[in-house]
Amino acid sequence: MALLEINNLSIGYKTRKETAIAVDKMSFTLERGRSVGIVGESGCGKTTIGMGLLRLLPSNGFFKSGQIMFDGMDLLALTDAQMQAIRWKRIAMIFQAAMNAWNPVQRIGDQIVEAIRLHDSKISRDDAVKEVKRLYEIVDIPGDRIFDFPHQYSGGMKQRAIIAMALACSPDLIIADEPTTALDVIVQDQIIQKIKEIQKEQNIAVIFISHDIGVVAEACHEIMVMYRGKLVEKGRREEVFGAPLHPYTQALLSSYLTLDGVFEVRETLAPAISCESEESLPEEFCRYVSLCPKATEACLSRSAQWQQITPTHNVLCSLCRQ
Amino acid sequence: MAEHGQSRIEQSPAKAQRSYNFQRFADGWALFCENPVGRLGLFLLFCFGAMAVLSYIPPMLDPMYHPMTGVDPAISSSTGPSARHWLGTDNLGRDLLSQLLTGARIAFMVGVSAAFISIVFGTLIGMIAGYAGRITDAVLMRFADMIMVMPSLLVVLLLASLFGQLNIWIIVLLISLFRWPGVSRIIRAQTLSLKQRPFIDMARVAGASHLRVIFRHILPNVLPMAFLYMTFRVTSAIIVEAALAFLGFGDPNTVSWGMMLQWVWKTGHMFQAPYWLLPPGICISLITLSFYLIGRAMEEVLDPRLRREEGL
Amino acid sequence: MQTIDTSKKNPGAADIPIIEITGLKKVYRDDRSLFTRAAPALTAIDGVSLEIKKGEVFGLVGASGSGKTTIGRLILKLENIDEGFIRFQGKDISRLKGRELKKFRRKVQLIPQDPYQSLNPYMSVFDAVAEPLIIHNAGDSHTRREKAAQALKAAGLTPAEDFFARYPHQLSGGQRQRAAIARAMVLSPEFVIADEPTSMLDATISFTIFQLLADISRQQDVTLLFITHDLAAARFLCDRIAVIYNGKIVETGTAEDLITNPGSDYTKALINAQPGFTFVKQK
Repeated sequence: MALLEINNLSIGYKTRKETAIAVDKMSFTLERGRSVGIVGESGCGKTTIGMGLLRLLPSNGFFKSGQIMFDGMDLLALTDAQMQAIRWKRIAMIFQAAMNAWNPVQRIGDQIVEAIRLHDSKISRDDAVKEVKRLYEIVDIPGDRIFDFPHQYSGGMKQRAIIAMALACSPDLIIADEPTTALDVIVQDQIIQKIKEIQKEQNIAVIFISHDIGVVAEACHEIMVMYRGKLVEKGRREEVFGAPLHPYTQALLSSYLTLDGVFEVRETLAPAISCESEESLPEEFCRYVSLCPKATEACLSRSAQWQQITPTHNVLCSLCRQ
Repeated sequence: MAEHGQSRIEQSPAKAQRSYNFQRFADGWALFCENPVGRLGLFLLFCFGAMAVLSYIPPMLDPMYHPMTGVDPAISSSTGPSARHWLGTDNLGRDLLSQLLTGARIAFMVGVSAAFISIVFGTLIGMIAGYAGRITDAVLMRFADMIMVMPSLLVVLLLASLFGQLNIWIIVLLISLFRWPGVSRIIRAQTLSLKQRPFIDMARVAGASHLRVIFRHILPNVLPMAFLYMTFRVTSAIIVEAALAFLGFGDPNTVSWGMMLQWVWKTGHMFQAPYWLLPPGICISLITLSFYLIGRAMEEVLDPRLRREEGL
Repeated sequence: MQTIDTSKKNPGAADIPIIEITGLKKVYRDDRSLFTRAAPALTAIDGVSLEIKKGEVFGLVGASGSGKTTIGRLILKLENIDEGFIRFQGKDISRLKGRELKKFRRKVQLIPQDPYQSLNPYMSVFDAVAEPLIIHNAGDSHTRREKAAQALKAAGLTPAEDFFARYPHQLSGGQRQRAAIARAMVLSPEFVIADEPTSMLDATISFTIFQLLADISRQQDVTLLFITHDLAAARFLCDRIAVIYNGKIVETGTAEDLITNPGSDYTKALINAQPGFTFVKQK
């Protein structure tokens, strides 16, 4: 059985004027020890997914439909207390700009120790400190820095300490939401390598959420591309990035600049059909029509269907029949 | 690429702009009205506004109803409510209702003009201090501190006893001179954070003069905050004026609520004539409350952090 | 799809320097030390010398905190120089005053980092784009309108008149950045600094902004200083690249050379750390 199975999950937000759907009928599975990357632009709902999996939606967010099965448990059916026990212990998180989440007036080691003992009151303080030392070794921070204050750490170290904290309860699943966004390229590379290494050694499943396809490509086995709340393409990394099929994935890839000096310069392809916006179309229709360079009139009159290209590679585009 | 999201604006630019500004105002207004606090404040304010307008009527009906000089010849001591004098009269036979109505007018006049003057001073000084920084900032802010720690009521009392009775406009001016430092501190803090915003750098790179930066770029951004603080200043100005008048240092030629209270007290009717004592007291409390409530509701409109609904 | 070699982006780049930087130094001191302990002085720029030639696109690549933005701010005279010189068209910019300074302001412009913060929220697009024209007394209200429309069109916001009355929050991030570019270009400046112009934008949109910058540098007689942390973007846009690390220039060279044949360890590390997926190209 897969570690994580998401069926038909929809998450919405209520605002004063309307109800907005941030995640629309999303389904995927994740096996133990595998990593999946979710890429998409800002506002496509990728952060909502991460928060939704932990049931940490903002107060105006709600689950509209669907199911989240984690290790045989239906997360949406659990009580708050049961969910609290799973959070961090079995599903850990590394949030966007988490490195700024350290309490500035408390030593980092103390903060981790406190978190460990909060979740397992039987552990003595000394044992917890030993545990922190072990974790610090994993994330390559010198042991004598444990009881430093946050401002004495560099950005990369703070983020590594966050990873150490995420590992503290040996979780089964780590959700990493833009874990390297504020970091330099070199530090970013170190963090990605570290996460990959830990994932392999400890057989943890990782959900890697990022806007940077380079980061996701480097870190993940599987890729899911999101656009406006919908998954539009999913598959193994080689499939999705090697032979992208959805026009949006293609646009995303061709706007990614690489170092090797030869650029696939795409004339920014004009939309094929004129369509003011997708808002007027029914929900199940393609959300990319108004920008899609390949769309046909037919796209305005039918819902987008998942097409299976290979057993692992799927694309939500009716034009991609093989 | 993905930038065609917005629907196109079909009207002429000027029209679109007007309707946009209108839209923004309408949105703020809707938010404001949704708030029960704001609605209550507005309702109270409306009542006092009506009182101020109606204050012109009684003297027109009969000179006897003039709040200051009108005397009912049939009455020689303070009497309670009657058909002729709905709220009764004071000990000279002057109609209390028309005094109360005129008091509303004076309260608005004092409150709004004192608040407006102190906001103008406060905003200007705050912006200059925040934008110039360094020594200008230090001098202006220390000066503001000095005024802020001065016991303003005491100083005004002192001036009043030195120069005799003060004209109501002098009182307004004095109140506003003592009330700008609080505003200027807030505006300065806002200016300091605005100064760090890239669009200020952009204006400087474009060659804008300091004056242009202050008035074209900083001022519009601090104005909403200034207006917000104006509503709070109105409250404090009305209270200071009432206190002065009650202590006998008001303008003897105007009928303010503080003045009415002073007359009750001086003529020894404190415990004899509740119909005389209570209305001005209640009015002072309610009008300050109404401005305060409006300020609180405005604060919620202006400061998105105080709003809850627009998460995401 | 077409594949082009972009190594010679600006064959017309003359060999005349437009900006010369010699021995530049900038130290940040915390001088509020009456009651607080003074923080140690921070040397942001430590002896930088550079030459940017007229007409070229020059890339300044470095990590955050490397001082790359400070160099831009020093050239724009947004901050004071502690040591060294910056010469613009042969003139020491720290001595510019009055009319000379205003002329300089007309010739040197900035394309900002954060489009969400770089436009005054209370100014419409037209007011923002036309402001430089007003400041520099360029033309009457009719020609200003025309020029603003032209600049918006050149920045890819068409039809320009539709955007005049909009306010920044009514625009998408990409549109805002285009409006900011229009504002920077409306005076036809000779030297433009683009400071991480796409760091706040999504990938597909930032690519279109890069294309716009490339177009501008090719079509107009303008020199571009492109400040970025992204070596690949610099490779895409620039003729020459300088890599800055801890306030010092570690390497300068043509974009081609610097990446295919890096001379310094830092540049090598930077290239190796570039996240990527080489397997994509195997198709």
